[in-house]
Amino acid sequence: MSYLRRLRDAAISVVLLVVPFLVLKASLSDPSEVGPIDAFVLRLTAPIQGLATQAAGAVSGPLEEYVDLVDAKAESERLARENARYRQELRSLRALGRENNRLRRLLGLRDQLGHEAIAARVIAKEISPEFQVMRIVVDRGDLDRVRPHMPVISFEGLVGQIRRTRSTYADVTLTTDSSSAIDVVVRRTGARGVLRGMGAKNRYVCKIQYLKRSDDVEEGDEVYTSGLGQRFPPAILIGRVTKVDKEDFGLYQLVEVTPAVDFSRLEEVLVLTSRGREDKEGTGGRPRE
Amino acid sequence: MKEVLRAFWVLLLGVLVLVVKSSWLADLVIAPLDPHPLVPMVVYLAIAPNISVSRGMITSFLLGYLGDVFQGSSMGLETFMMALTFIVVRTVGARFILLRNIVYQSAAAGITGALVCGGAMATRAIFEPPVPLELHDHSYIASTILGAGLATGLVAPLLFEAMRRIEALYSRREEGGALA
Repeated sequence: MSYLRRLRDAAISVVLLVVPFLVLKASLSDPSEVGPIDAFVLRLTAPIQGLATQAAGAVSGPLEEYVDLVDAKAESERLARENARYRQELRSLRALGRENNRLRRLLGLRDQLGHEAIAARVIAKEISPEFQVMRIVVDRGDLDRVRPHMPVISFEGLVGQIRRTRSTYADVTLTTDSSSAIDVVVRRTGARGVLRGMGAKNRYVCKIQYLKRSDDVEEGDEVYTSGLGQRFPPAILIGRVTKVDKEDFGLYQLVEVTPAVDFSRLEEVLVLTSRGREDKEGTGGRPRE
Repeated sequence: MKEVLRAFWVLLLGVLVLVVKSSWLADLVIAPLDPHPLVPMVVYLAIAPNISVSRGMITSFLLGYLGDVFQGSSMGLETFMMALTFIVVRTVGARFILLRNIVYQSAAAGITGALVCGGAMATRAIFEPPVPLELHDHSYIASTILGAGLATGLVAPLLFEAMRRIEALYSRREEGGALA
């Protein structure tokens, strides 16, 4: 029994060594030098090879697809993270671009006005219950030579004036504040009046007082600072006429003006710290073209 | 029947390690640390005391054939090398290794893996002129063989444990059945 078993083991071992050796020799040989034995071995094993390859493909295919899917999921997550990071960077760059644009326009405005001015950043906004900006705070104060009543402008137009200052910041009264009064001129006709804030808590609006009934004013007319009183430089855009109400009686007409400045989006302003060269040259209240 | 079932599980494990190697490990393998996952399995078959020569030889042959098939090569090199490895390890009589610790087992698998790698290169050099390998570059040959041996030795404990569990699975059932 033991002898037969050993004989069986030896036979199996020899066969299982010789068969792959022959196939190996046949398959690795140069095709031009394949002998009859090699050709026979290849013919014999070719169908087995085909079946085995198909079976291996059937087994490994789904597993490899699963692995690919796992890889694809990991890749997808990595790309999603990367995409989020790029989106964040894009948002930052866009914000920087917008800020850069605003600052460039502010610089251009300062050069145009010929005033000494310092740029300031809006660091706080007082908001009404109706979400209207009632007052702003800028990051410049006494230490920056900012003083009360100095005009504050943005590239959109007049923002208001410095109300009070502290060492490193200052409150700004907006043109819409009821305490604000500015001598203005309607650009199209040269009609003059005093712009007062209406202090409305639900919209940004001012009114022009002392505008004669006979003065020609229409909705859409642009309103500028006149420069009278020398508190504000002339020809700074304040807003546009949005309502004209001429009563049948009285000396004056009622005109409402909507500020050009969007106070809710205000981020950078200029504080004019000196009179401009045009004031010094005496250009009066002519609006700038 | 139990022998067939054991061989089936061993072959299934072989398929699994080959697929894992060609998919997950493909990105992780750093040349020349390329493990030969079938070698530890064949070494185990050769040195395990309760595995007969015929079962070990047939299983090794089939494992080698799986290696050839999954590597896309025709039957031959892997099949021949695994069958030869089984015979050599069995003949050398390294059964004592199983009685030692994991370091010895890994070392046995690593050395065998290096020898298989060198043997495969030599076989290809003999049968497949012109040689597609850079056999004139001794440092390349040395690093490939040593890398294969080292990597095979590193994965060997895991595969030994898997093989041991496959063998123990049916032993426990037998014991459980006997006790019942």
